[in-house]
Amino acid sequence: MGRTVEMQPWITIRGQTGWAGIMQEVEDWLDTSRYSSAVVRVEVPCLSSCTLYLEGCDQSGGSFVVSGTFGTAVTTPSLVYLLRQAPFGASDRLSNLLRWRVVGPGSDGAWTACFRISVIFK
Amino acid sequence: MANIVKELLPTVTISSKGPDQIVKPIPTFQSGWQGMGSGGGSVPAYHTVSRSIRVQPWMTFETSGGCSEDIVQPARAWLSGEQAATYHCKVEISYLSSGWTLELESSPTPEGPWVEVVAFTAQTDTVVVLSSEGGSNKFSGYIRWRLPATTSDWGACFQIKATPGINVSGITMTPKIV
Repeated sequence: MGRTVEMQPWITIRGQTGWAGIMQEVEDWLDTSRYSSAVVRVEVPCLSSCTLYLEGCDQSGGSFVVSGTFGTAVTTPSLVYLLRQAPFGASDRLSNLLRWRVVGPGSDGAWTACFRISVIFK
Repeated sequence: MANIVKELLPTVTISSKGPDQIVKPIPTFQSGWQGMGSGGGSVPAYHTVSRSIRVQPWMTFETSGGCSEDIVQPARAWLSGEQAATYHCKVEISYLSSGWTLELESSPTPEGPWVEVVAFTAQTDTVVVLSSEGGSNKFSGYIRWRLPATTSDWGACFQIKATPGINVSGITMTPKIV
């Protein structure tokens, strides 16, 4: 039986011109090491001038790989399927740590993001 | 007859920084801080920095037409001088409407009076040291954030985290036992 975890409750964040972006706090990164697969459910009703990334890494000091990219708001939830075992591409692999990161346009303007992320593990 | 020996003072340890600096050993304490994330874990002597406290997670406030009352941080999340004499506060403000202010204020009691300690008027990513032992940003008792009332459209998005620390301007260390 799977388990659902709220990786990020509803949150709205904004950045003024020049604010590069916001990354999920280290304390909230999701530890997935106990599970073999995950379905990440991303709800993004508002995304203006920024990009939401779902990233994974096997250890906090390592290199994060993008597992999902969201550049526009959507009216229905998006699903990202991640597996720990092969066959899989680098972006489909379930890493031990999952996090989100919002990247703004930098000096090109302000940005806004409103989203929620849930993860169904198996 | 049994000899009962009472230890009136804990064992003192000479600091490695010099023979004249005698430092009382700081008992280990659990970092049972408020905030999200896993807490706990003992902290060895001389290291007063523990896991950071999430004073305010990323939060966005917005309104159109202004707000007639100040927006004040809920009391359950206020920083307290009971936990540490000094806090190193990381203040990240990704968005703040022009003409608006995010204030950190302090009071010796929860009822007030509240006095502004430091104010931010623009986007910033900075660390301020708040200490009850002196310095430019002195606090007493409790610390909270406040967004003052305004008559115009406004918005703010910010996060505040704090780490208990020591006021490095002096050699006197004040142990805090939780």
